[in-house]
Amino acid sequence: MSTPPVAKAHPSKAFFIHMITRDLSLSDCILDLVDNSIHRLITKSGVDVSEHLFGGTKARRIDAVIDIAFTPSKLSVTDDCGGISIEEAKEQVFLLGNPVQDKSQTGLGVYGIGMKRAFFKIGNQISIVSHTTDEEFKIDIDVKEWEKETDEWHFPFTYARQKESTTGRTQIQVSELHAAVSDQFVSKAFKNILLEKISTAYALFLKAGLNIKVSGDDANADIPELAESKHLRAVRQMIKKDGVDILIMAGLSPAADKKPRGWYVFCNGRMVLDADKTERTGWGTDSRPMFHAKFNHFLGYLYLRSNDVQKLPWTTTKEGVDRESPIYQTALTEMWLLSRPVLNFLNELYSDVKEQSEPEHSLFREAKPVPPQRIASRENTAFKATVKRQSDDDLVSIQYRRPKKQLNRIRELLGRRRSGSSIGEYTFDWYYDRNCK
Amino acid sequence: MAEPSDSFKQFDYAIRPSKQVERKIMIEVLLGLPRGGYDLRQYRYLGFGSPFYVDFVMFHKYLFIREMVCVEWADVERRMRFNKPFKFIKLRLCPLSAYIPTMRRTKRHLVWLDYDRSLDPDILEDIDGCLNRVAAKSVLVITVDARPKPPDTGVEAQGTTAENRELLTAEAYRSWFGRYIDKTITREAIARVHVAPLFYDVVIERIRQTLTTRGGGLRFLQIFNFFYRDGAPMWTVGGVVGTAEDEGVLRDAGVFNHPFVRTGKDYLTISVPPLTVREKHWLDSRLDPNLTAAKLAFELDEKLLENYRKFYKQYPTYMETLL
Repeated sequence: MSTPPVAKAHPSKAFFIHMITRDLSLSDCILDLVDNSIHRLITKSGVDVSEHLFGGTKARRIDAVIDIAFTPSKLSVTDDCGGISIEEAKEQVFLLGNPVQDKSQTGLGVYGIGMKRAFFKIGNQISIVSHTTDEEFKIDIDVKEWEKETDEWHFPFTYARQKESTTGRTQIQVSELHAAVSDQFVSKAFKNILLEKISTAYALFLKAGLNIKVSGDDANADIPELAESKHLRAVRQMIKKDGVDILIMAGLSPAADKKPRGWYVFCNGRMVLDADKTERTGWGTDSRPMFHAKFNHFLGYLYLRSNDVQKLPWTTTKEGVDRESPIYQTALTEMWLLSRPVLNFLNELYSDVKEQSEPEHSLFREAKPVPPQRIASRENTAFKATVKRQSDDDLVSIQYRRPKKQLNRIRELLGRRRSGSSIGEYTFDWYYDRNCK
Repeated sequence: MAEPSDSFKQFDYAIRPSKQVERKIMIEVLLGLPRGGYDLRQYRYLGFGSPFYVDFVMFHKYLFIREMVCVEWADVERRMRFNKPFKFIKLRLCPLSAYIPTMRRTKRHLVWLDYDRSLDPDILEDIDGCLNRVAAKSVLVITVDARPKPPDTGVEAQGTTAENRELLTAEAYRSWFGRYIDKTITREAIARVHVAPLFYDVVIERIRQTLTTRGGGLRFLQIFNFFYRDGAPMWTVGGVVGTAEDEGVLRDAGVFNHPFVRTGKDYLTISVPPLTVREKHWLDSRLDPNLTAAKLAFELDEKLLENYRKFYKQYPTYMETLL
């Protein structure tokens, strides 16, 4: 009997170099490099940004710098986040895809593809120099040459040796940039786009002390605040499921905050959805409402944390969520269950009959901005909006529009110089006296 | 969000005969659950209030439930407090959506979401919330007005024609419920006195989806599917939130054998004839399978006699009492 044939299933370098690089933007690729730096920081020094969220100012500050610099011919990302050991470089860091996940640590490294995809997306010449406190290495990659060797699935070290240092550092340099990348690096807008993305994606890390620079400028944390007062309180609920901490907070953004909000989703401190108003966070799904202008002040946070990074609903681009993930499904159910009273309040706030919603408006206006960290670090609370209902004796305003000609006619008949509001009051009283007393 | 209900201003809840028959049937069927090991005395009843508290009184007296929560949103706080029949009833003056997040997941509940409005997305969210919060082996019952209703679009909708209302309703229902059923909701489909079968499909599918997402092998073990009218046509569906194993236990306990249990789409129509006390007594003393309308001492057609024969045990009798 002859041996059955086999179907070939080996990987192709062209796929990694030219195809999966299309799945994300240049700025997202640079964020992948930042993710790598932060992942090292977490694995080397045990930094857990969740402590800053739950523990407030008592948590240990992050003391590290990630410096991104680019010119039309070169990109460099330098960090002092602990460095890469020779062993890690040999066995793990350069693999195209993680074969097995280490389930014992929290972090941002999930699929083992981001850094390499970023290299291929940006340019042809890559140099990685890294040192820990006791050793150093350098790897130089010529992508075009590497692509030619179809069966060689490794990158040779330029050097790997012992070296004493006080800290660990890594520098990634990419040169011979692709034309489209150079064009973007020339654009002044690109730096701002990158700073903006970093300010939101790593807002919690930046708040905790991490310094990320983009061509000399520091990124500042951009994380919206919730409105609270004695009578208005955001919901805060922490649940644990299958090794994942699920923290949900939802309430209103302050009256002065004019940016339409929505849901903000974090996985191990990294923001993966920013002000989401789409089906990804449940808007318009099942019997839930679509996002609408009256929900502009809705502000919700979903914070997921796990030591087993595989359990979190990351996508490979970290720009979205895996909606089929069981943990995310559980979180989604809770998010909507807990935030319904918030949406109901907003429905009341922007009801069709404006006069009736004055107590809600007053409550909303009086609330003060509170950082999400302060809400995260307290006990579970339900959404509270204690509206002081108007009594029957309270005064309400009535506004309406009528042709000026008609108003002047009434003014003539009344025989006195009266304002529009005075005529409105007079005619109201006239009707009330005859029909309602 | 739907406005608070104030139908109690129109009815004394206790003297709606079909509703009362429904309550008694529910109690009769639920009394079968202890045979399957369900200790109803340990359940918490969650229901909507009215100053009459009829369900609360009956479920306490006949199911022996002592933990009760009444959620009421109408602006009658003092009246609700004044009429509370038992001290142990906890009154929560808020919309159900605000109460649901506070429900304990480990607690078995008997929940009756007894709305006096038609099915809408807000009700589906309430159902979803309750199903995500109650412990396994809880009982969930939902009652809605079975008439098709257009969305509340305010004053301008009042003057519209019947045809426009139907078109509006069909459009709203397609958007609200289209994802739960496998056919398009047309104007013809909702141009009828009641749409209980449509509501059944929607509610059952939504429950299925919610429980599938919740996991744990939970499913809706339906026991109630009633239709009745004391004025407006009303539809009720109810069941146990349990696993396949729970279903086996309930089957072995004979719960599904009760003649009024409905496990599928065909509903039990509850309809009782209006009888005087003397007529009722006369019928009760002579009721057997051979009694026909022709043999009665008073006028009552065969259909009404049949209805009475079906529900004579649950038939409510009302008398004026001078207190």
